Amino acid sequence: MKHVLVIIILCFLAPTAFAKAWQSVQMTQSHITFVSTQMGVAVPGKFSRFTAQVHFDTDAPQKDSAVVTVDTASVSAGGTEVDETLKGKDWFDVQHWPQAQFVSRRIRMLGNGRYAADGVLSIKGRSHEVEIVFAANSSAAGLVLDGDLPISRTAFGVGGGQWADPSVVADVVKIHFHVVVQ
Amino acid sequence: MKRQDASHYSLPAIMLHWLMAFMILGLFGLGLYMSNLPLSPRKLQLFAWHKWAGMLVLALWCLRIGWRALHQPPALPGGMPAWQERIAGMTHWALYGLMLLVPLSGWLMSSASGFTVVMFGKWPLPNLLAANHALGETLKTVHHVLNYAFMGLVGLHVLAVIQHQFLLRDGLLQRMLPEARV
Ligand code: HEM
Ligand code: HEM
Repeated sequence: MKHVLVIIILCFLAPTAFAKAWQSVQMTQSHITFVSTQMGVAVPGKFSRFTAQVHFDTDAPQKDSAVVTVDTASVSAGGTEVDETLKGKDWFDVQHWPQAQFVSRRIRMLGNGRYAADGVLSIKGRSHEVEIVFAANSSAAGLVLDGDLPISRTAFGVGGGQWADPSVVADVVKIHFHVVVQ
Repeated sequence: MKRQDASHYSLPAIMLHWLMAFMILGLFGLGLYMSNLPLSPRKLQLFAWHKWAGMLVLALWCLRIGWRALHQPPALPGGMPAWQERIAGMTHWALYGLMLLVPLSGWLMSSASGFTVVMFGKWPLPNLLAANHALGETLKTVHHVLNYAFMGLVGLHVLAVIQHQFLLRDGLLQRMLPEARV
């Protein structure tokens, strides 16, 4: 957790050094959604509460960073019964694991307005290295970051017990984020 | 229109009648059973099977109505009062109507509820309506109400067959069974 703090602090200090950096996340315009596959049917869901600290300079990505913290209890995927199940022990176990977090280690420029963020994703106390490929486009609202991250839900212990069978709920869940920074 | 053998339905008509009858009776049972289950992988599986089988009934309906349009059924056994013949005719057409409307209402409900029907988990069918939660709930009620009407009519239909078989003993059931060739 210590380096998370360091990164967060750096995010606040950075603008003095890099005037051009984008870092004020517009929460009302940003969202985190996901698509799971149930019996072959794509079913959308979302996390309505999260915080994001982003420091992003399109020209100097090596200094960039992102920390995204998701309030797991804000999950929804189409109906109260589903939502309550997702908050329960087999899925996000929000009582014990109220937060999920992504902390970037480095951000690489891929060209054509595309970037890759390498970092660690932690859900339910399990951490795995992930690579998030995202696009950065400027718009009137600010810089729009759109990224996708397919994850193996079972690698994080999300959907255990009777739900482990990937033939009903597929193992791969596609997370999508849309973050607007100014 | 081709006139069928005076005393029997044609073999395709017979096969379609019984195949669909068994599927529909199974779908009544499955539908009632699955909707009361708590959320579980089993429930998602049964919902998917229900939808797949229901959509197959819809496909078979198209075949059946095509066949029916080109082939006149055998004339009803003599000696039935005119009002009974009228009721028999009306019941049969109402059954054809419900065999279409029940699966169609299911497909509409699924579409409006935001769940694409994906045949056998592989082939997505078009959504007939845009996702709209309130409309989905209304269509669920429509699916239920049409089903109760359908069950009622099938009950009436079976009672009529029983009456013919055991009270009138006019061999009506034989007309819907493959002809014994002697
Ligand atoms: C001939 C075809 C069908 C029959 C006889 C049938 C029959 C039924 C019955 C009896 C129920 C339970 C009603 C209740 O709980 O009161 C039901 C529920 C349901 N049916 Fe069908 N169905 C058919 C086709 C379909 C199709 C094609 C779909 C979707 C593509 C579908 C989707 C559903 C769903 C989602 C439910 C559960 C609704 C709920 O949450 O309660 N059905 N069906
Ligand atoms: C879901 C169940 C069923 C449906 C939807 C259904 C539907 C129909 C329809 C639409 C016809 C009229 C065919 C025509 O003349 O165009 C028919 C005829 C017939 N059905 Fe069914 N049926 C069902 C179940 C049954 C069952 C369980 C039996 C037996 C107990 C049965 C026995 C018959 C017989 C004997 C006829 C011929 C009547 C005649 O000769 O005019 N059906 N059925």
